[in-house]
Formats: sequence, structure tokens, C-alpha cells
Amino acid sequence: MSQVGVITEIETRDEDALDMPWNVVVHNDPVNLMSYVTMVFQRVLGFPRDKATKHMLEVHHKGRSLVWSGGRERAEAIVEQLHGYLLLATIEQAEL
Amino acid sequence: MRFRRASADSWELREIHPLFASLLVELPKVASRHKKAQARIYPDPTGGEGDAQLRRDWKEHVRPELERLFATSRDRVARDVEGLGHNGQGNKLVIPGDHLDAWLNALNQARLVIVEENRFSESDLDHREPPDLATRRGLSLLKIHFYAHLQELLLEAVG
Repeated sequence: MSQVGVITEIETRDEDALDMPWNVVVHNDPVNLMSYVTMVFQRVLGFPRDKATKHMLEVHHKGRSLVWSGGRERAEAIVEQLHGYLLLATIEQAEL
Repeated sequence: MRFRRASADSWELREIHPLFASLLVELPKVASRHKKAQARIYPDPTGGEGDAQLRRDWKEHVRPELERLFATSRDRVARDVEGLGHNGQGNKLVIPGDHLDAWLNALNQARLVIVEENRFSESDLDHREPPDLATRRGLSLLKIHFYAHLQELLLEAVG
């Protein structure tokens, strides 16, 4: 029984690792206009204007903003869309 | 130069100075010069630190899609500027409403290309003095600012 218990625990940890969320991060660049970045956040991420502006300002002042977290496939799709708008965006796995 | 809604589904630029008209005409060509701006226009989705397989998959599957998207935007803009200066109505440019996104995209491509080709820094771009148009670098700065101004106008139109 105890051995089964150990195996179960290891499997759970593996599943946890696979399920760790992926972050979509947008990075600052000197070219994209602030109003343009805000519009892209509204369109791609469905943010209301005030939230889009908050993230745009975070990119501008702090150099990056985490704009979305979740499953890998969706994260990749979002980064692809952001690249389509020529924003600097990356996908990063959240840390344990 | 004036920008206004021309009809329910189109916008127009009027009274375009010949210099700016020439910048509009050359926009698709400038935007296509991706050679020196590859890393910026097609950025690494992992920021250079993620898994190599993702980078390979991205290059194989996503990049061709982006190339098609960017080319489509440039083609639409090229069609719109074709008649500029030859439409019998003076310097007027009509932009169909469903081309606004293509314009925003092509303008961004062009601005990124110019920045990379000239290695402009953030302070270069923020410099508020009029650029020296006698130099290639100064003319490039003018282009960036003109294309940014046009982007702002179009963003207001997009809402």
C-alpha cells in the first residue's frame, strides 16, 4: 500500500508541473505608440480600456507587463496575435 | 494635410504636401525591407531563453503566417497609394475603412525597419528638435515621425 501511495504522489507532482501556467509577457520598445499598444491589448486580450491602459503604462514604465496566464496552447496563440501586431511579446512558464 | 471621414466606409487624406505624398507612396516598399529588422519584426517567442523546440516550431509554422499577414497589409496599402497624385483630384488619398488595420500594420513595419536600419535609440526618437533633412539620418527621423503621426490619426479613426 505504501508503495502505491508513493507512486501516486510522484504522478501528481508531474501533472502539477505540466499544469503550471504559462505567462504572456509584453516588453517595451521605443517604436510602438502608446495608443497603439492600448488598442492591441483591447483587441487581442479583450481588456476594457482602463485595464489596457494600465498594462500599457506598466510596459512603458517597467519595461514589461504580464498580460495573460493560462494554458500553453492559448498562450502561444496570444503571442502569435501580438506578434501579428508587431508587439514584442514572449511566452514564459510560470515558476513554481 | 487634413484627415477626415469621406463616407460611411472610407477615410481620406487631403492637401497632402508633395514630400509627404512621396513618403506615402514609398511606404509599402520601405515596410518590405525586413532584412535588417528580422529579429525585431519576427521576434523570438521565448526571448532567447525558452525551449528550443518551441523556437523551431515557431519558425516553421508561425513565421510564414506572419509573413503572409505583413505582405497582405503592404499589398493593401500599395493599392491605396497607387492613385495618389494621379487621380485627377489633386493630392488626395482615400483609405477604405476595411484597410485601416492594414495601414496601421504597414506603418508599424516601416517604422520598425527604419529604426533598425538607422540604429535609432529611444532618445533619438524622443528628440524634439526638427531633424536635419540634409542628412539621410534626419530624413529617416522625419519619416518615422510622419508615419507615427499618420498612425495616430488612423487610431482615432479606428476608435
